[in-house]
Amino acid sequence: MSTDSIILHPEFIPSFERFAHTIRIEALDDVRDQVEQLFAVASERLKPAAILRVAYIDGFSTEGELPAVHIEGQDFRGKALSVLKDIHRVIPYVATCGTEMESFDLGGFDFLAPYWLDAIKLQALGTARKALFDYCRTKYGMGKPMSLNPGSGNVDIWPIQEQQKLFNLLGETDTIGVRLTESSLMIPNKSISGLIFTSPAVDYESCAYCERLDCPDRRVPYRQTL
Amino acid sequence: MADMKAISEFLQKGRAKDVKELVQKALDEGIGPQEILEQGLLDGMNIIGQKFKNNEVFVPEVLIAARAMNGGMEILKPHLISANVQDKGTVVIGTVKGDLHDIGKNLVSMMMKGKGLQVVDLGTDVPAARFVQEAIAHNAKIIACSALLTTTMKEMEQVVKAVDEAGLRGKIRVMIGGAPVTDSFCRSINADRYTPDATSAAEAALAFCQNIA
Ligand code: B12
Repeated sequence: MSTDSIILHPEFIPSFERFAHTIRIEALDDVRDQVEQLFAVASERLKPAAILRVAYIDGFSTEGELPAVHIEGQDFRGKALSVLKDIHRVIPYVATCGTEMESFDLGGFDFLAPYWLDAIKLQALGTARKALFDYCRTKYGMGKPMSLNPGSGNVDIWPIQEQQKLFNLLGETDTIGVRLTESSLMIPNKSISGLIFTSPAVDYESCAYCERLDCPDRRVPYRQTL
Repeated sequence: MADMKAISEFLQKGRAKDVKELVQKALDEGIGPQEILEQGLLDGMNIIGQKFKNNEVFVPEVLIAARAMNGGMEILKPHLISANVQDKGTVVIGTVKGDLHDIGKNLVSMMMKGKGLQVVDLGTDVPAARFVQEAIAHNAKIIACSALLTTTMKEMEQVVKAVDEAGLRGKIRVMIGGAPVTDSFCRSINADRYTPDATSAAEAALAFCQNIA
């Protein structure tokens, strides 16, 4: 059974306060007007979006040493996929900050302007991500939606090369403007992809398997095995 | 009297405007450009670098400090040139082919400048051959490659090969880094040096330049 993709376009109301803190605005009084101008333009233009659909797991197997899961004609392989063993339904998705600022010319701006823009784009991605997870909670009754992301965690958890298969499942990511490069990189840079699932038996967070122990972005403590 | 410590402290706070004013004041009072550079600007960047390495400050603090350093350098540069102050060596840096991440690479570049090195930034998506061409053109001692994905870090091996094929092994050092890169990967592709963060990358680069000089 195959279902249609759903596209979400949540309203974007960025927080200037959070933005100002992220970019350390107190040091930027000499370019304050530029900061405000960029924030205003990006806030108005960026249209965060997410594409998702319901997909059903056809089967689960072990290929070589690796767990493999078969979803509507796509075969995914990677250690992390073992968490899907007793699950029947997943939500493949891509979420993005929006493409509207990709060709914006920062020429006349301060040399830190690309980082200011990145900070606003991250808020936009946050809006898209929240809309996506809220949708899974309310429409699909997922109490605690969790996400598996190609490439996230340690190298062999779920190789990033599997991005293409995930994109195949979604079919029309073009409609939200996200492009996958040959090296499995998504453009715009502030985009995320994965399979959302829910399970009372597992508590999965890819960050737990990354070996950069002193990473300032670490969300949960390191775990050696899945 | 212009105060080098104040330049360093304003730089650490990212106060570009104050740094510029104090650098100008120091020059007006006849303080040598090299002294202003070493004891004011580079001292400030050095302290920020150490704090960043110890997770006491984060990327935004480094960015505003680097901006303040740029501000100071704009004023100082013509004076350094006319005083014929020698630079400490040149690094050609870029994110490898297929990869568009640049925050890490830019931080490494800022820290290297903060050690007084010249940095030629080739941007992102840089093919192996271009690293070598530009290194030759700028008489660089180091090629520094950044990658943020396991798919693109493999390109670093091509850079090492291109340096070998150009017969420049030993004359140009290849440094590599980025989130998925490790020391064992560095050894496996025969690159010269991996470091986990921008501060130690800059320290290693300076040491290379001083040794090969
Ligand atoms: C923030 C972040 C994101 C953000 C923003 C990304 C962006 N480009 O703006 C978002 C949420 C959008 C994101 C998305 C994804 N991400 Co991400 N992300 C990160 C995270 C947490 C931080 C990246 C960062 O900006 N770091 C800050 C900079 C300063 O650090 P850095 O680049 O590593 O540079 C430092 C050092 O490495 C070193 N260095 C860098 N270059 C060089 C060069 C030399 C010569 C030397 C010596 C040193 C050196 O010095 C720098 C400063 O100290 C990293 C994990 C991490 N802790 O690094 C994952 C990480 C990069 N992401 C990862 C993944 C998998 C993804 C996704 C594919 C997940 C998904 N399926 O959705 C997507 C892909 C996005 C895309 N566009 O394609 C993986 C990549 C691993 C892999 N398999 O390739 C990582 C490593 C996390 C992990 N371990 O799983 N991500």
